[in-house]
Amino acid sequence: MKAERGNLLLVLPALATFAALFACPFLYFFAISFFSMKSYRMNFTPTLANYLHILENNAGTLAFTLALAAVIASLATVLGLIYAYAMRFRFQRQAEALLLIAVLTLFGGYLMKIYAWKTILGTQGVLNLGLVGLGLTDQPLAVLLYSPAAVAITLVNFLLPMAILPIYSSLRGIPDIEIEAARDLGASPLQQLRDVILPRAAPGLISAFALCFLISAGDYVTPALVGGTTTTMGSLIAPQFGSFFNWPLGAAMSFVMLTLGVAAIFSCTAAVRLAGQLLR
Amino acid sequence: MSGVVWRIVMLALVVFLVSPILLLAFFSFNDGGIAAFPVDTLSLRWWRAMIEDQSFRAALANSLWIGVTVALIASALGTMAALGLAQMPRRPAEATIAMLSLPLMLPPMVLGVSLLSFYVRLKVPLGFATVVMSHLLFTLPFVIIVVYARLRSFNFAMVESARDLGASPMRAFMTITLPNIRLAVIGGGLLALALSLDDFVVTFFTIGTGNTLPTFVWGMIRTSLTPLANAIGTLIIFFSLGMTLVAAYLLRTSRN
Amino acid sequence: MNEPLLEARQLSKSYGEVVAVRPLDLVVESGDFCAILGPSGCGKTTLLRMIGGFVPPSSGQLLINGHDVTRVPPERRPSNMVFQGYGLFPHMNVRENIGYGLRLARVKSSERNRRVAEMLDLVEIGPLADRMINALSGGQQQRVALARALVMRPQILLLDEPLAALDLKLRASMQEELRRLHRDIGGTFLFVTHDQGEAMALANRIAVMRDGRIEQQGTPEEVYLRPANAFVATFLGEANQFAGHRVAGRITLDAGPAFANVGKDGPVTVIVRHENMCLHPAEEPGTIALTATVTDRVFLGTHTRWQLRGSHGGDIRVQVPGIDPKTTLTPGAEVRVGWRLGHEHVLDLA
Repeated sequence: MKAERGNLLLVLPALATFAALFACPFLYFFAISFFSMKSYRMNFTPTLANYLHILENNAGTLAFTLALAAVIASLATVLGLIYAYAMRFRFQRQAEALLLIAVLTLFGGYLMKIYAWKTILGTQGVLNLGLVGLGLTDQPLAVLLYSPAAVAITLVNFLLPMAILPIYSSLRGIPDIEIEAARDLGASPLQQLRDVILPRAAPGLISAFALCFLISAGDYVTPALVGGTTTTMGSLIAPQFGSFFNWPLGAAMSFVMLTLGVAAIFSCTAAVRLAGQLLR
Repeated sequence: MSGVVWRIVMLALVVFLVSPILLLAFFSFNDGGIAAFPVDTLSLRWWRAMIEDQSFRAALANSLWIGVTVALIASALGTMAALGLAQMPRRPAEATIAMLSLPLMLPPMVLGVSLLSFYVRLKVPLGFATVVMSHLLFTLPFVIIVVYARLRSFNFAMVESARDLGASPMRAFMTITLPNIRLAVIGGGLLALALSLDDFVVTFFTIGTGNTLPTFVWGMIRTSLTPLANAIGTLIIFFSLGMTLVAAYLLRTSRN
Repeated sequence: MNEPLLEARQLSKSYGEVVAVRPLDLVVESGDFCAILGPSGCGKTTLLRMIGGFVPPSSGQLLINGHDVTRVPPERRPSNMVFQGYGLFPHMNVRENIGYGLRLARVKSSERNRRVAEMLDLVEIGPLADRMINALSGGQQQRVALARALVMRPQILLLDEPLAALDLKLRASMQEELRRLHRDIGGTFLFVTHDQGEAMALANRIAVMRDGRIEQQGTPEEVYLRPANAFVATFLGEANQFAGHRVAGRITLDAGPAFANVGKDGPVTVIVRHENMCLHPAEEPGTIALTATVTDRVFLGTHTRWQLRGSHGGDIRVQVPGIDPKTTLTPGAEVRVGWRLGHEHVLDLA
């Protein structure tokens, strides 16, 4: 039909951009993970050397990255759920303002937020000054900065708005009458949460977790600025495209990280779903 | 949980979200040399230093040129795509949008390096064009999502009556559709501008030589730690925030 | 059996300046099928939600079986509600939805399965037991919602506009369903509706509400044949209103005719239902007749509605079953219309 052809034509430029700038580069990127670098030139003979190298040398960093990403994503998702739950069920009148705050902080910078945390977490920073001033510690806590904890706090702060939005969106899809029906049948607030809210919020929770996980796993700026000696896969991949100049290895690392990351997300969500069913 | 506990929790979360930005801005006015307490005097010293810095001005110009170009192209292509998608059945349309949003789900570094290797392979010189193209990748989905949402509640019967009265498709679009979705398109464009201005990672890998504001700041904070970085950072953040606020206002108005 | 099942005493609800429900009294006896009928915005849904426990009353008391439940939250009240829109849980299938309340009440699974099966039979959706809610039609969802509430054996079942979401044909069959359920269970039902036909078809007691007030409570016959005021008269069914004056036991209509009617002296409104009016009335002592001019005629299948203008200037409507083959009146024609004495209902205005 003419109308349908017209519609497809309209979407075509966007699809073409996607194909040219995402699909093709991504496929090419996957291809070069099987090549190698010899004296600053790419050798186009396929080989599994890169992947073997990662298996032998970087297993530890991989495991650490995935574990850290899981912790960060879980924290961000839980805090996001609390914030979204409060917006939807406790503070309806202020919901618009709270949403605006989440949206604004989402768009309010990446690099500069990490830099801001560097100043907040330092021994001279706001947090330590507060702790010492309130008498909670004698000495400023040096462990707050240049540690995995710093990476976690910084990334949770950056990712929180990204977790809030999909979770809130799925909570908004729960009509009030379902909650009222549960109450009418005898459910306490905790039972309402367990039986009606969480199952319906599941898609939003999974999206939030997946998004936060992947971004944490692939981040190299945060460990570089506030992580000190903390090394994640991101910290290993970035220099491959800089001073180390081993692009195939960097590509292989990226794909290993992505694949394991997606696998980790699947297993985490499956585990939680299983736990949920066992508790019923 | 009682009302008081909830209030404390939410207050803590809001403070958690907002304080890095506010502290960053606060320290940019610190007359002393470090971005930390104690703060003795407040002044515009670092802001003046920023404006006078030549490399800052070059980076700012780059950021603005790239940002505006990206915003214009993303608005045009995104609105077109949204228009086509809104007139298709829901399921395939939303699946397509999900696919187009894949770049937003991946770590930016992976996007950056895959684009870099692709450009190098095709022997495309790194610079303005490559950065604009790279930014399109993550701004286009945003524009599409925003304009699509607006078009879903748009009554296409208006367009059909315009066609019935003799308007060509282009004419109908320009005189009927566009004025009604104008706010959503502008909002989407502003969001694209904010995202482009603020982007660091993808730009870092695909710009070659030359700087946008974020890559300029990166160079600075690797070497020194003066509040000059705070000033520039605050500028970037509040510019993005400003764009986002205006966009949010426009989008809310367009819904009514 | 002396104590009513549900008693609302001076129950009211205000939101700041706005009064949704003025202090009112309502009594529902055990076994009743009671309707709260009124136009949108009259406060009937607020009243129902107060009874269900979802809206705390601003003043007054609510008693169920003699116990004061005014401050008791919905999860602990002996009432259950079927919501408009049903509120079924889409992530559970039919069986799980119905059994949810029993599970919360920690009923043993053998007992629970038995009661759920009993309910599935009662509302006749046995074959659908394992389907997910989204795969059901509107009528089927309605039955699941009913079953879910009834399986809890509430002392009173509350329904919020139960048939509003259904199309016309389905509505008629669901009305029969609800009547059958009520008979079979022998429970007490209370529902709100804006549909006068639904109220008359289902209820044995009707409370008519307007602007937060109950205008009249009674059986369908009482409310229809002896409306307490013009609002009730015109909300249930259609009626002509003739203005007149009563002096010394005799009413004289502004339109002309007079007849004997005992009562206070003063202005009155005489209500005559459209179906009680006729064309070409026999001109004899037991009949009131007046002259009117035909303005329109509408044939509606089961009856014909005549629109006329009386000599006093007011509109008159006459409803005649089928078509009267003898009548070939056209707009503009003058004709006598009237009714048999005894079919009118007189409202004192003073």
